[in-house]
Amino acid sequence: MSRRVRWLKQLAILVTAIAAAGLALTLLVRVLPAPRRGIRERAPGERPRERREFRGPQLRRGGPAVLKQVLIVGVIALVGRKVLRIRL
Amino acid sequence: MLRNRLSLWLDSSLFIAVCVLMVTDVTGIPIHEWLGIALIPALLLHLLLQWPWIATRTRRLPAPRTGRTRVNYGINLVLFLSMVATIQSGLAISRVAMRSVFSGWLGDRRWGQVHGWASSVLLLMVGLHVALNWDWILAVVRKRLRFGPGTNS
Repeated sequence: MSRRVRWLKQLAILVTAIAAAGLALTLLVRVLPAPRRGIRERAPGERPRERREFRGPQLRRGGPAVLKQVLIVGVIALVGRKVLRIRL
Repeated sequence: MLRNRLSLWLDSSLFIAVCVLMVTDVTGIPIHEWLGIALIPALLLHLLLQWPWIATRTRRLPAPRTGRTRVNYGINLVLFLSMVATIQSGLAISRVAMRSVFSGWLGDRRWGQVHGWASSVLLLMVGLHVALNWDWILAVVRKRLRFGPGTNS
């Protein structure tokens, strides 16, 4: 079997696995109960609030926040390494 | 050799991309969504490059005395599933990149919850994935920088 055919076969298996996982998740989400919206009832005479357009979260400076994520993953890796070394 | 080098660059980029994707309030929604979509081909390539590992470990899974293999396989499987869940739910709640494509047939408030949970599991699994492959990462980086435990440079 040529390399290209082998890669195509592997890619087909991968895409099938992803599609199967995606389908299973879709079915699971359909079964799950919808989250409550948390809307309070309006007082008599109170006007409904105008719906604001979604503008995304308030942006903040990038460097420290990304570094924090890297640190979080690093700490998980360090702790995981210690724990898995003990267990395995 | 080339495979290892490609893997190192690809995996480093994936790691940084996942960290950047976790800080939506820094990147903003459009960059977050497009970077998430760009992750799909990179992930497929990562999995294809690791295919020999996946194939051999899947075959060895039922064999006795394979505790480490099973744990590693389990972590990678959960990582794969959480990645699929995160990307799929991300596409479902997309507001910029895929708004017109997925909002009709996948759009639901539940997907927002799934996205939050799946990305938290994903972060945890990425950490454990790095932990389990730390020796390989160290070996490849040492080789690239041309110093090893035995050299003084």
